Amino acid sequence: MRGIKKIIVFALMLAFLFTVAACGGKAAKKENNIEMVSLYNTMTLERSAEITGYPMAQFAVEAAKGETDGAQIVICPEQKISAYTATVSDLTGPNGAVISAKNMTLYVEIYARVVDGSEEFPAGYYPDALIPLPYIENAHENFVEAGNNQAFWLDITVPEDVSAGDYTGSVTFLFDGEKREVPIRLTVFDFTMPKVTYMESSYLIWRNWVIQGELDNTTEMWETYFDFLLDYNLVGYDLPCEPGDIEAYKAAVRKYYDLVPNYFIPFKLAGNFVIDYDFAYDYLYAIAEISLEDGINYFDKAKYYIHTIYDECNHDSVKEIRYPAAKVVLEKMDETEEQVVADLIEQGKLRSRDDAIAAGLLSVQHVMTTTYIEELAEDYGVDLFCPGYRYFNTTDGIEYYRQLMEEGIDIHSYGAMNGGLTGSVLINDYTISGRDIMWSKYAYGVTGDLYWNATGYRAWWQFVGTGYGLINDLYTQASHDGLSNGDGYLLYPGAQYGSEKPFPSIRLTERRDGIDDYDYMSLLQDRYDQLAEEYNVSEGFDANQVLQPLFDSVFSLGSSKLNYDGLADARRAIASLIEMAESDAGFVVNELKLEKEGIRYSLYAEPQTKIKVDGSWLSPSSTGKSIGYISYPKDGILRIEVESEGKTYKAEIYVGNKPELVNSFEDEESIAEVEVSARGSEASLNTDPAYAVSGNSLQIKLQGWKDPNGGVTVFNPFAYMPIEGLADTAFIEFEVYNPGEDITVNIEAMNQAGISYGLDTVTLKSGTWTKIRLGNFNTISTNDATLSKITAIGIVASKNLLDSSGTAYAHTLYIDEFYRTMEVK
Amino acid sequence: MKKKLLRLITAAMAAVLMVSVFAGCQKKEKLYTGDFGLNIITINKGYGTDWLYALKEEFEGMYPGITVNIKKEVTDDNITNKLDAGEEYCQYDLFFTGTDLAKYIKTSVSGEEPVLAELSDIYNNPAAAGEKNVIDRLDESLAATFKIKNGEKTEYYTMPWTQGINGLLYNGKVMREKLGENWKETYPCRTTEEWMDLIEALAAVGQYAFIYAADTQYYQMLYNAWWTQYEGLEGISNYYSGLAYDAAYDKMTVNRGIFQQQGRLEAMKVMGSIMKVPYVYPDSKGIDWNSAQTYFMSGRSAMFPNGDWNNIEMGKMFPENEVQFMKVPVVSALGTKLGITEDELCLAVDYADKVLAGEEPQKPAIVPQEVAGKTLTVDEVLEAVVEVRSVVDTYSNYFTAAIAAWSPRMQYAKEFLRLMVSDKGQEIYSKSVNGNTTLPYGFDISKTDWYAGVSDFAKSRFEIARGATYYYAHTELPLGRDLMAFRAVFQAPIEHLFYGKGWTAEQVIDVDVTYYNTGTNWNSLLELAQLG
Repeated sequence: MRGIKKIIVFALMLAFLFTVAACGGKAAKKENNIEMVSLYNTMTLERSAEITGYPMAQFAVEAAKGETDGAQIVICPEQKISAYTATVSDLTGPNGAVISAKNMTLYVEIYARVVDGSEEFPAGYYPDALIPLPYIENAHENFVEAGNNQAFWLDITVPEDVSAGDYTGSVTFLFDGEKREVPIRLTVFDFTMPKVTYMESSYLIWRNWVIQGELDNTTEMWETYFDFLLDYNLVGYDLPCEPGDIEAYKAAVRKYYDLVPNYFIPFKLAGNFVIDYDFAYDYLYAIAEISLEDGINYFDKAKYYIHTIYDECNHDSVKEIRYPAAKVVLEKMDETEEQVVADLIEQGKLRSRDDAIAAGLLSVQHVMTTTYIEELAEDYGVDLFCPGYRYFNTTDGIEYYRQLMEEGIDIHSYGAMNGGLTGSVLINDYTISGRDIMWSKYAYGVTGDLYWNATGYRAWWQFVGTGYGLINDLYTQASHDGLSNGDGYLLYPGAQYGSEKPFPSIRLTERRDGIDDYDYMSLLQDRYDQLAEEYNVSEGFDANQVLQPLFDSVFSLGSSKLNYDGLADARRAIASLIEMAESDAGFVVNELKLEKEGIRYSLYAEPQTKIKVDGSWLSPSSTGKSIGYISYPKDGILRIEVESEGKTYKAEIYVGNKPELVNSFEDEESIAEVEVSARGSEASLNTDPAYAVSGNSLQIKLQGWKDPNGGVTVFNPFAYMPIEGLADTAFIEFEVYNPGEDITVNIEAMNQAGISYGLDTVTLKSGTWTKIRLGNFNTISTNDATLSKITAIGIVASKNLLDSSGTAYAHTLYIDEFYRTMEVK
Repeated sequence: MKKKLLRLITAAMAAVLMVSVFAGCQKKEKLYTGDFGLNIITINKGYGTDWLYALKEEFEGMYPGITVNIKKEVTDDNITNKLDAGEEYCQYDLFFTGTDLAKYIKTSVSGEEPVLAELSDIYNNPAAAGEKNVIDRLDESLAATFKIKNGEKTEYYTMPWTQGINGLLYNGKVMREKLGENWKETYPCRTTEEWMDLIEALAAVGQYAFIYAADTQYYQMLYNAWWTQYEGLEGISNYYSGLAYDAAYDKMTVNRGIFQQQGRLEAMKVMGSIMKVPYVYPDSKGIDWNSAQTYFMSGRSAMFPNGDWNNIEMGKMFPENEVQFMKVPVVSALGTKLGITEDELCLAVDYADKVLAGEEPQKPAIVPQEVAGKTLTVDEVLEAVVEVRSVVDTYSNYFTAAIAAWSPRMQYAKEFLRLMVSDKGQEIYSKSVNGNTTLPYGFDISKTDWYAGVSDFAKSRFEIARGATYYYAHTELPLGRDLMAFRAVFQAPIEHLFYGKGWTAEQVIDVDVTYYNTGTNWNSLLELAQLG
């Protein structure tokens, strides 16, 4: 018996020793293996995603003076971190310059549960809410389970009065007492952000829904939200003051006028689809009064957005009621404006309708959230339309709105439940596309952004008779509508964490940063326009043409290229060009044209400025003008260096690879594999030089067809040209000549299984060559394996070719110069 | 003293060991406690759980010493998150769910991270001696969704735990009082045109035919039935495969033509014709689901689409109710498609009803006319009508049972399912719910000694359930998970689109056509479906 006891005691001792060793008691504490990496600030990773392979952890930020930008790291501990904290150091820079830690905020990223995921972003936990670390510590949520990712975001606001250059500092983390230091590297560009964004915006703060998150529905809370959005470059729908309180509104206009690119004049409903015009009169009169008192024309940033009536009022489902109501509002608002002006003249406050304030009052724009409606533009004077951004996904859509802009129509755009590659507002999605959309908006001339709700703190899909359902957890329940993960809210309430302000989301920061990018491009354009005028080369100058290679690396036909490095590089290139333009060199890239064989450029600078292009110094010109033509650089980057007044400025502009010829359709063999639709369409070799860019070309006859039995309603004749996959392809382009009437065609890609994907819709104008240029292949798939299966690119008639009597006809087109540009490896 | 010290040391070490093992090392222990219970977690989707307890009792009798533990949940999330938790933290063996388990099936088939156990041995064998293989007892139209291709093999991971019948209910008391005792003879409702006569007759006496709640979409059950009737089961399969005839290729290809299936429009047209002011309870726009269901039971509307759980849920509150199922009328446009007149279609429906009831009726005298260059034979027409007459909308593809891949009591979990799908189990199941529902494995409850005592509701339901073929969103097909029957549902439920918003059928269909012709939405759908 004693022996058994001894054995038991011995066994327990052994077990005890093993247990202590394994568990890492104080005597033999095992260090927690914590993986720490950097992540693009345009990317999010699911909580259990593998992080090995990302770069070493650091917070690297590039920003202009006065700009706020952020960076993020992700950690993944092998063992649970029971508690963590962190301190952020000051940053030191050129000549001992210091940026205080007070200009930085370290956020903990909160992971929201996505129940219904997608193939690419499956169900799981994705980061979105950004909550400053102290609130997380107070809530005792500063722990990380073993094997989970935890991301941290650092925002840096660069003071306007600091020197440009590189700054460094660190964030010191303590994970269960273990110290880890993460470097901060900040590059401050040598220019200052504008006080007011170039881009206009209107983001709804749905006051009645804020209460569920904040338990506070006061004007003060509304103002807090309004100011918070403004910090993120966005303007709330209405200025934060009680409807009907005119004095408060006057104060708000005075307060915000210098801070916003636009603001809205409130409206009040007086019945179903009827507004109160006395109410409108009071507000217009009030704005006129303070304009006269202050000598500032406050009307120049004022807008109407009668969303209850205007929203999609031309949509079939509502147009019977809303469209006529919208016309009545437009008419009556005109009358109300006239009445205010007449009264002010009668009262001796205005001299005539020609006074600037009267003119401003009479031309307040209505934000019409519809596609362009000719009747409203021509008969009712509407000159600002705000269609959904989906209309900017095709050449035809972009061209349609470009022409309207040329005619003087302003275009904003809106998104709702956007996902994927175009301005995603979703949590489990391509985060970068929420930022890239601001680049394409700039390129396409869209000057405003509208979003239906930043504060959807209710489950609005669940109509429960008396209202909408409640959200179980506003921070971790991704879907508030039961349909999408993130639509309808970009903010998180602060109340539950004891904050008097709301918290941002990653999606909100994407919009902030995208609008900053928009401002970079706008700044460059403004400066270039000034310099082009100084150099007397403004005629025909188009800053967008210069930026085109950078656009190409960020988006194509409104869709994100998902180019994380490319976005950062493009932004840095624009910053460099702004610095060069603002320097003593006054340097302007007047032309930058990517041609088949090389790059054509023309550069202007102050006389005697030294300019180096692609490693070669150009001879200093007495006029400062340099024109040249160079081959495509091997790494796809055009390097420009400028020396002036002892200072050197450098820019690296991504221009990509040289295009490669796929097919110039010179002989029968080259057209042998062109596939055309059944029932009469044909492909043949054209030898008439009148219908070729050079040499011969491909002639296609698209033949319409009428089903004799009347059963087939869809028939789109087509011609497909072979291509060996689209993996690693940056762009394809070809020329099409249309000798007949205008015809609209879809450009499609077909895979080996015969499945077609739409890429573009283009109207081929009669008697002209049209260049088709496509780079939006990740709308087919982001997977190279899928893209490599594409075997043909086709022109498909957008509809059957039947004349007004229903008789089928044929339409001939000529195709030439089929090129492909590969991505730079 | 020495002994005492030894005891103290021993106790201290044991305590440290215990604390370390159970609380230390930051490693959670598995929750399996080693008892011999079969742990079941189940959803209550309106069918209650009496049937499961009845099966439990039988099972425990068959396997003495084994306890069946049942955990009831009312939300699917609370069940699937157990599967998400995985082997380490999940104590359940057998799951009765009410949601799509496709993602678990996918990882189980690939073998990457098996979550669900393969059930092929249950499907491919008789559940009890003398019975057919289980798979052969399921109607092929339903079985299709459970057949998972793994290379050359067909595997099974889930199986339906109810024969969900969604369709058209009517309140017999209202019908009798408003239209007389012989209303069924006066208004036979074989086709939608005949049905409209009934609806108008109700309106003429001030009775609303329909009621709905703005936050639900149960009228889609009717749409689905009409759509399937017009297109046939193959047409539905084509829709969820993205396949449509492309005259430019002169073959079926994956293309956007699926959105212009004529059956979708015809089904919508019927919906548009019934969701009108004189026919719909006017406060529908503002009431919630419970109110709509209760109001129907109390007679404020004569008809109401719902699932067969209706009387299980509402029976206690309305014990004297006369609610029954009516076969969904055949969409009249089918006659045009088949080349027969409305009267001939009615005759064909009569014929189909008799065939489905097991009779061998005489073929009606119909003369099909040429349509789109082709004239069908009488047999072809009748065969088509018989096929579509048995179509019902069902959620049985979602109401499925599955076993955790890691279950240590796998064999018992399978035995439980075998019991459920055997004739004995099916009878226990149905009897426990008074015949108000059945399992889809072919057991004929009308031949039991207790069937005579079941309610008229149960009998009307079984008349439809017997020989049913099924419509459901085919998640096993490429577009099944990501393609909705129609996108306009994003704007409002179908009934509300018509009654509440005044849409036309063409407008509803146009939402899909426009959306998938806009930008790259079609590409996104193909990408989601991994087509190509």
